[in-house]
Amino acid sequence: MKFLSIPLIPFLVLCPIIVLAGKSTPEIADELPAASSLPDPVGGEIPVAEQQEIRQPLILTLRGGREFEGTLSGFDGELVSVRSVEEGGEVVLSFPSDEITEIYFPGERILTESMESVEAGDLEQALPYLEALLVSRYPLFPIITEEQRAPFVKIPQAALAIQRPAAAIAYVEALRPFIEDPGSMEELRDAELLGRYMLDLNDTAKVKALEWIDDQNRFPESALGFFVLAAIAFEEDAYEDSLYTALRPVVFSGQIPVPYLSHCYSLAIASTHLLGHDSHRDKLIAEMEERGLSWQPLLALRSANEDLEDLVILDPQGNRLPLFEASTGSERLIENLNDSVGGGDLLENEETP
Amino acid sequence: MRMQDALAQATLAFQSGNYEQALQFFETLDTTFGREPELQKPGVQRILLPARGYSEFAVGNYESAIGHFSSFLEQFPEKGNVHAFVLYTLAQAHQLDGGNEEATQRLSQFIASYPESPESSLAALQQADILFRSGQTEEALALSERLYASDRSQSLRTQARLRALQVLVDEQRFAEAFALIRDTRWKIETMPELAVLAFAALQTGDQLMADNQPGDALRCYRLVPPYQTLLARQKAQLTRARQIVDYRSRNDRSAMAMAWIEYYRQLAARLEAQLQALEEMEDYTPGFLLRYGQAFLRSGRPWESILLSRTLASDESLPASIREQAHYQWILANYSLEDWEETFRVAQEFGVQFPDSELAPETLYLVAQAYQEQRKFRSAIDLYTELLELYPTHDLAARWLFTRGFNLSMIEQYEEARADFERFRTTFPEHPLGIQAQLWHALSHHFEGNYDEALAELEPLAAASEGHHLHPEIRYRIATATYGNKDYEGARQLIEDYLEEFPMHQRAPEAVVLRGDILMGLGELIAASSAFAQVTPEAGGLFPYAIFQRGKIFKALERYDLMIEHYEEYITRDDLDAKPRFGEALYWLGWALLQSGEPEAALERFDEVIETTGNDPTATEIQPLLASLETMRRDLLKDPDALDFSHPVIETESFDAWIDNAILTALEQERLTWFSRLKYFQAIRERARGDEEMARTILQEIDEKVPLGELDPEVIGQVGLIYSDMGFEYAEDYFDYILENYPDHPARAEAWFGLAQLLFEEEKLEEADDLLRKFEDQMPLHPLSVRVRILRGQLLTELADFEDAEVTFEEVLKLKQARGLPHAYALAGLAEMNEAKGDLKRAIPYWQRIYTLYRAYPDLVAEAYYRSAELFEEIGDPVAAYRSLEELLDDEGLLSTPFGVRAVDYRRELAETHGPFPLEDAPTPTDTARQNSELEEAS
Repeated sequence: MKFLSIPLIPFLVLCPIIVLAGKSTPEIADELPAASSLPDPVGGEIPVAEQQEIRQPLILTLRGGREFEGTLSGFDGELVSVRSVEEGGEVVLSFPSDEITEIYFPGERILTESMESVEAGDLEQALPYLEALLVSRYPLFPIITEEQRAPFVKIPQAALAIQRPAAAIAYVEALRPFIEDPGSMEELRDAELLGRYMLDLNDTAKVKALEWIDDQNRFPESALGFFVLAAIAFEEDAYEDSLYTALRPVVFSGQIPVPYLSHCYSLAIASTHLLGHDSHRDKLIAEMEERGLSWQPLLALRSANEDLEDLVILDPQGNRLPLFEASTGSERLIENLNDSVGGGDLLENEETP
Repeated sequence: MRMQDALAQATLAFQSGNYEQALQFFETLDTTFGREPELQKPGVQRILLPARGYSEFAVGNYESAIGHFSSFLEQFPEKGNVHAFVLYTLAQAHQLDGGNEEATQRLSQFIASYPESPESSLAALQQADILFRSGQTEEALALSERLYASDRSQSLRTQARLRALQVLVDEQRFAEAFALIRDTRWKIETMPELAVLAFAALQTGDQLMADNQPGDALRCYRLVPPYQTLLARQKAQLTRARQIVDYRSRNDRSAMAMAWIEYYRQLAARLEAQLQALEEMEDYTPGFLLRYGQAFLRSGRPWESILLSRTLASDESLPASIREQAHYQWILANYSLEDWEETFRVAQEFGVQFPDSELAPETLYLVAQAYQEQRKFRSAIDLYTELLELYPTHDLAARWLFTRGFNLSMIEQYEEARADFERFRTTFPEHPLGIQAQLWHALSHHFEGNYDEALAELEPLAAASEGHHLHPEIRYRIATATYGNKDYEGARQLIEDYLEEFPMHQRAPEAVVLRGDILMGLGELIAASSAFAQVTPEAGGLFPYAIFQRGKIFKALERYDLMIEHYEEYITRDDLDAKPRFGEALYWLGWALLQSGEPEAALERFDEVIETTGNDPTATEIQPLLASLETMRRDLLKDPDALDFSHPVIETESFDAWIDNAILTALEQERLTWFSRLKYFQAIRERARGDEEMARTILQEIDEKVPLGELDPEVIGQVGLIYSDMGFEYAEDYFDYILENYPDHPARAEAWFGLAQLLFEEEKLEEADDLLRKFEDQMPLHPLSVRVRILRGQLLTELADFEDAEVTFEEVLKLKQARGLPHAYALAGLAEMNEAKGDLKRAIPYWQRIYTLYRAYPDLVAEAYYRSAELFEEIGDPVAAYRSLEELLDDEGLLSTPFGVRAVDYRRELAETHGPFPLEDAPTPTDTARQNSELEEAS
C-alpha cells in the first residue's frame, strides 16, 4: 500500500458538490461491478467537450481532509486505486475504501442537465450522457451512496424510449444489485417488465407481470402489470382473460388517474367488442372519455386486425382514430412511466397577490 | 413620552405582529395625544387608522376595528393597496361580528373596486359562504355558479363548486348535486378538500342508487377514494396548507398578504377538522366497494362487479357480513353473465361459508333459476322443493311454487305440474300470478293432447280474465285447443274472432299461420294458401313456415307451375334482409322443375343450391338434393338419346365418381361443410349397405378434418353418437353444440338420445328419462326411436321397474323395423332385467337366443355366451357354464372379441374350481337353445 502526500487542491474548496462515501454504504452486491459488464451504449455519441469533461480526474477526500486527484485505476473491493501523473512519470495510489470520506466525480454539470432533461420527459436527450457518466462511476457503485446511484436508474427507461428493450433489460440487470431504494427498485422492475413485453418475451413477461401484480395493494398506483398481462392475453386470443385483467385497474383506480390506465381501457374496449358485449364496450368508451383518458392505439390489438375492423373510436372532433400501431416503434408505451400519481401541490394553484 | 415616540412604538409593535402591545400604544396615543392637531393630520390618520383597525381586528375587537376601518374609508376613499386591504378586512370584521349583510356589502364593494385583483375571487368565495351560512342558498348558488363560470383560478372556481355541492347535499338536493359532480372537472389529484368531495359524492351516489340510477351513481362513486388513500392525502394537504401559512406569514409583505394567510389558515383549520373526523371514523372502504359493485351490476357491468365482489368475498380480514353480501353479489354477477357453471360454483361456496345466511333462500333461488336457464329442469325442481320445505313462509314462496309447476310442465310431468298450480291457486288466491297459474294448469292438459279438459278450463278462464293482459293469450289457446280437437270450423271462427279483436297481440302472426293450418284441415287448400300468403316477414320464423306450407299445398295439388312460381318469387325477393331456408326453397324449385319435365332447369337450380348453400352449415335439404341428383341421373340415362343438354352429373362415369370428384374439389376449395356433406352422403350409403364400421370410419374422418362450427348439425349428431356409443364423455360437447346452436333442428333428436345415453352411464337416471320422454313425444317416428325404447327399458331396469321394462323390450321385439341388432339388444335387455330381478333361470334363455339367432354380431354373441356361462355357474351348473365357454372358444370369429378374450381365463378358472369336466356327447348349449327358441317361436 503506497501513500503519497500531496497538497490540497484549491479547486476542491470551491467545488460545491462533495460526495459522501464510505462505510455508510451497505454491502449490497457480491460481485464487484466492472464497466465491461455494462451493455454497449445505445444512446449515441456525446460532444467531445462533454466527453473530455467526464474524463477529468476524480478527487478522493480521505479522513483528516487530505485530497487526492487522479483517474480511476481500479477497485478490488477494499482498495480504490487512482492513477496520477507526477513529475517523472505516472503514479498509482491505492486507498482503503473505508478511509475515503468523499469522492468528487467530474461531470456533475452534465449530470444535472441530464436529470433536467429526464424531468422534462426528454429521456432520449439524457440517455447518451447518463450512459457516459455511468461508465466512469459504475466501478465505484459499491462505495457511493444510493443518492449518487439513483440518477442512473433512468437509463433503462431511456433505452426503452428509443426502442432498445434488450439494452434496457441489460442495464436493469447491471444496476439492480446496487439499488436498494424501493422507488428506484420499482422503476427498474417496471422497465424490465416493459422491456420483456416489447421484446415479445411473453412467457417471462407474463411471469413478471403476475409478480408485479402480486406486489400491488388493492388500489394500485400504476396499471403497468395489468396492461402487460392483458395485452399478452389479448394477443393469445384469450379475450375474456384480457378483459378481466384490464378491468382491474379500471375498477380499482377511481377517479385518480394511474399510468397505463388508458392502455387498459383500450384493451378492455377491444376485448368487449370481440366478445360481442357491445353495450359494455360503449359504456367503457363513454367512461374513458368522461375520465379524460384517450384511446391508445396498441400493437397488441393488431393481432385481431380483421375482427376489429368495425370497431369505431372517434376523437373529440369526430375523426376516426387508428386502433393499433403498425410497429413497436410507434407505440406510446413509455410516456407514463414517470407520471406521478397525485400528491398535490397547493402552491401550484395558489394565487399570488 | 412624546407623541412621536408613542407613534413609533405603536408602529414597531404593529409591524412585528404584536397587536396587543400595538393596541396599548394606540390607546396611549389616543388618550394622551388625541386632541393634538398633529395626530389628526390626514398623513398620520392614513397610517394610524388601518394599523389601529387591524390591531383591533387581530385581537378580536371587531366592533372597534369596524369603526376605525370605516373611518379610514370615509376619509380616504381613493383606491389603492391600503384601501383594498382596509375594505377587505372590514368585510371580514363585519362577518366575524355577525354583520353578514354589511360584510356582503363590503365584499361587493371590494369586488367592484378591484375586479381584476386575485383577492376579488376570495371575496366572491367568501360572499357566497356568507350567503350559504345565512340560509340564502339560492343567491349563494347563483354566486358560486358565476364564480365557477368566470376566468378565475381553477382552484378557487373548484372551491366554489365544492361549497355549493356540500350545501346541496346537506339540503338533500341530490339531482342538482349530481349535476355539479357531473359537470365539474374535479382536479382530484391536487384538490385540498378531497374529503368534502368524497363524502358528498358518496352520499349522492347512494341516493342515485336508491333512485335506480346506477350509471350516474357510478360517476359519483368514482370520486370516492379508499379510506387509507383519503387519509394520506388529507394529511399531506394539511401539511402543505400549514407550510403555506408559515411561508406566507414569514415572507409575504404585500398589502393583501393577510387575506391569503387568513384564507390558508381557514383552509388548514378545515382540513384539520376533516382529518380528525376521518381518523375517528371507521374505514368506509369495504361498504363503499360493496355499493360500487352493486352499481356496476345494476349498470349492466357484471364483469366489474365480479372483480369487486370477488375481492371483498375473499378478504378474510373483512367482517363476515360484508363478505357474505359480497359473495351473494358475486353469485348475482355470474348469474347476470349467464355463466351457469360459475354461478353454481360460487353459490356452492356460499353455502359452505355461510350456511346460516339469511340470503340462503335467495341464493338457492338463483341457482334454481340458473338450472332452469340451462334447461336442467329436474335439478331446478329439486331446489324449488327444498326451498318450499325450508322456507314455506318466505316472500318468494308463491313464486317458487309457481315456477316449480312451470318446470314440471317443461319435463312433461303434467299431473305434478297441475298439482302445483292448483296448490298455488288455493294457497295464494290473491297473488298477481293467479291467472297465469290457471292458464298453465289448463295448458298442461293442452300439451297432453287432452283438448276437452283444456277447453273446459280455458273457456271460463277467458270469461274471468276480461281486461287481464293474458286474456288474448287465453283466447288464442282456446282456438289452438279447438284446432287440436279437429273442430276446424269452430277453430276458424275462434281464430278469426281473435284476429279481429286483438290484431296487434303478440300471437297474431301465429294466429294467421294457424288460420292457414285450419283451412288446410278443412281441405280448403286454396284459401289456406291465401291465408299463408298473408304472413309477412315481420312474423319471424313463421314466415318461412308459411312459405313452405304454401309450397306443400301446391305440391299436394300437383300444381308444379304454381310451385315453381311461388319458390321463384321467394328466391328472387329483394325486400328481405335474410331468406331463411333459401337452399331448401331452391331444392323444391328444382324438384318442381323436374316434375314439370324441365330437368335442365332443375339441374341449374340444384347447382345453385350447391353453390349458394352447400357450404352453409345451417342449410337443410342437402342430403335429399344429393339423393335427387342420383335418381335424376339414373332416370335421364335411361334414354340417353333423348338428352339435349349436358351436365357433369350426367357425363360422369358413375354417381360415386361424381361424389369422389366433388369431395376432392371441396377440399381444394376449402369448402369444408360441403365436403362433410358429401362424405356423409357416402357414410349413409355405407350404412344402408350394412357396413356400419365403414360408415363410422367416414364420420370420424369428417370429424378430424372439419371444425365443429362448419359441420351440418345432422353430421354433428351422428359423430356425437359414435363417441357416446363408445362411452366418451366428450360426446356431450357435440350434443350441447346442437342444442345451443340449432335448438329446433331435427338433429336435436341425436343430441337428446346421445345425452340420455351419457346420463344413463353416469347413473343420472331421471335426467336421462326426461330426455327420452321428450324424444318420444316430439319425434316418435325418428329412426333412433327403437334405440330410445331399448335405452328406456334399460333405464326402467335400473329403476327396478321390471314390469314396465319387460313391456318396453317386448314392444321392441314386436317391431318389424327393429329386426337385427335392435332385437338382439332387446333380448339382452330382457336378460339383464331378469338378472336384476334375481330370476337367473329366466335370464339364460334370452342370452341363448342371442347367440343362436344373431351370429352376425360377434361382440354381442360372445357376450351372450359369457354372460350365460356366468349365470349357469351361479345357479350351480358349472358344466353348462363350461360348455358355453367351450362353444364360444370353438368359434374362431369370436376369439378376438372382448368377451372372447376374457373367456379363456374364465374357462381355466372354472376348470380349476369345478373341473375336470367330462367330455360327453351331450347337446351343445346352442342346440339346446335352438330347440328352446323353436319351441318359443312355435308357441
